[in-house]
Amino acid sequence: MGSYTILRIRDDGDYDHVSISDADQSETIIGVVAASEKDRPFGRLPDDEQSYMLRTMRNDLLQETDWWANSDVTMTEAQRTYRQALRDLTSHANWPHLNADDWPIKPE
Amino acid sequence: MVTYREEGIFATDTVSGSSDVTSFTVDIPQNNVVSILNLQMHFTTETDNFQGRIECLNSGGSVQTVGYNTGTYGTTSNFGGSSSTSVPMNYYNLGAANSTSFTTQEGYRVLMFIHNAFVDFTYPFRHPTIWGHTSYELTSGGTKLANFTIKQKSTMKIASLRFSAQSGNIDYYRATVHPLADG
Repeated sequence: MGSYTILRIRDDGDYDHVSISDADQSETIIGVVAASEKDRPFGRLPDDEQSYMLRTMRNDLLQETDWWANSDVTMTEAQRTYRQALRDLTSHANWPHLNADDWPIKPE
Repeated sequence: MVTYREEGIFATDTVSGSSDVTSFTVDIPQNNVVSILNLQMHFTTETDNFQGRIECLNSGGSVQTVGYNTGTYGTTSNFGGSSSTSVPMNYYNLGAANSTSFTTQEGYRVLMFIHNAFVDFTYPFRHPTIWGHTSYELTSGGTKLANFTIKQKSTMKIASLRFSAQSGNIDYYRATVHPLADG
């Protein structure tokens, strides 16, 4: 039988990370998760893995729009800004743990 | 021994849930050459670079160090390397936050094979191996397919697999494990 883990809020506002057995519903506290980290109960990915992942993703997004720079296409200012913002992501203050709204939005 | 029933191959473990969990674990047969794990799960987080993640645990419950590679069909890039924590089961492009192309129903189906036995301590067959396919939907009506493989770096058999979300919770899951061939 398997098991699952949940977060259970504590009196101090942080969370107990609780493992519960499917077999008998017995509980074991496996750690304490700060309220600020409740979306990452198992911790953040290591910086090198996170950087590698986001760089790969950023490079793919640039590659997808390479055709905007073709000589027979005129790139709009919004498109130029978008591509530059992708190039600048690695110097973002939150790098490599970017939030969803740290990514530039692709122009229509 | 593999037992066939009217509804298919006998399941050695079935887990399911429909309320928020940070992870769930399924047991894997250790005395079979190959098992199949059929999984579907849904995430609470919606970001474009989101991943479902997997860990191999030994019989003592310790996370095993693995080598891994994950890529999405139709893209040139992939993730790969060595990890002593969880590893991804999909490349990016799962989320909706920065794209109008992707579904807000972040979740996917996974079919994986676990080659857990026939470990004869000789390369290249020394370590338990997992390989699988992850399928997820786009709002356009299309689908994405990710492939992944994981090779455990120790010769200890995989006793269970733990699934989690890169961030946030899993709010629906169902997984069944079936032995495919005897060891």
